[in-house]
Amino acid sequence: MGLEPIAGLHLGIEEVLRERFSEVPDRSIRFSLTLENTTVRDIVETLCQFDSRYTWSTDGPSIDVFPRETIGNSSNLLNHGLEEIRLDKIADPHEALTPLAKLLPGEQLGYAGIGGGSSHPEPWSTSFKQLTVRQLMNRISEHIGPRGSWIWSGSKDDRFFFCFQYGFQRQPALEAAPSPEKLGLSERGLSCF
Amino acid sequence: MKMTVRLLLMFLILSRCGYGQTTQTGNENEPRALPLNYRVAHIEVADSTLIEALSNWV
Repeated sequence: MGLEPIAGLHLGIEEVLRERFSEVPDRSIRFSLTLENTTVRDIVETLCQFDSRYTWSTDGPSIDVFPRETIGNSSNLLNHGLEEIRLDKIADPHEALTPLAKLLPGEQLGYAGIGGGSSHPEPWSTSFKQLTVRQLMNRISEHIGPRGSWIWSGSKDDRFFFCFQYGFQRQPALEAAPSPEKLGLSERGLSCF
Repeated sequence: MKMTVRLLLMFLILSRCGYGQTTQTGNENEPRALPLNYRVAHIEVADSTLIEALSNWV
C-alpha cells in the first residue's frame, strides 16, 4: 500500500471483536486492489466497501473505522458517553485508562503496549466533557503527535487498546512494528483495568 | 410560509447536528484540518483484511 506517511491523519480503528481470545483472528474477508491518484476519503470508503462489516466517520482530525453493527448501540464500549473525564499529568495514553475505568465500572478494558513510541511529548493535564469513549481515544491519540492513531482489538472477554505515535507502520523503538493482529496474538504487553 | 420557515429551520438544525457521514465533536482544542482530500498517487492492497490494509497504510 502507499508508504508515504500523511501528517495530520489520525486513525481510530475498532475491530470486530472475536468471541474468545483463544480464537484465531478472522481473516476470512481479504481482498486485493490497486488505486491510482485517489483521495484519502475514497481510499477509506473503498476499503469499507470491500469489507461491508465496517463503516467510517470523521471526528475532528480523526477518521474512525468501526463495525457497522455498533452504530446506535449504546452498550458498545466505544459509544459509551462520558459526562466528564479529567486527565491529570498523564505521560502515556494508557494512563488515561485508569480514570476511564473508574467511570466504567464492570467494563473490561486493557491497554497493550508495544514498547516505546506512544508517549505524550510532556505530561498532559486536561478535561473533556460530554464525549464518547471513541472520541476520548481520538483526542488522546491526536495529542501524541501528528500521526497518532489507535486500535481497539481482542475478543469480547479480553479487549484492549493499542496507541501508536507514528501510525501503525513503524515505531522508533521497533524497526518493523508487528501488525496489530499479530500483536494481539502473541506479543502484547497488557495492562488491564 | 410557516411551513417553509419550519423546513428551513429543520434543515439547518439537522445540518448542524452533522447528519450523514461526517461528524464534528466538541473539543477544547481547535480542530485541525482532516486531510480527507489529500491525494495519494498509488495504493496497492494484496490479499489483506481491512485492518491489515489500514495498518499498512497509516
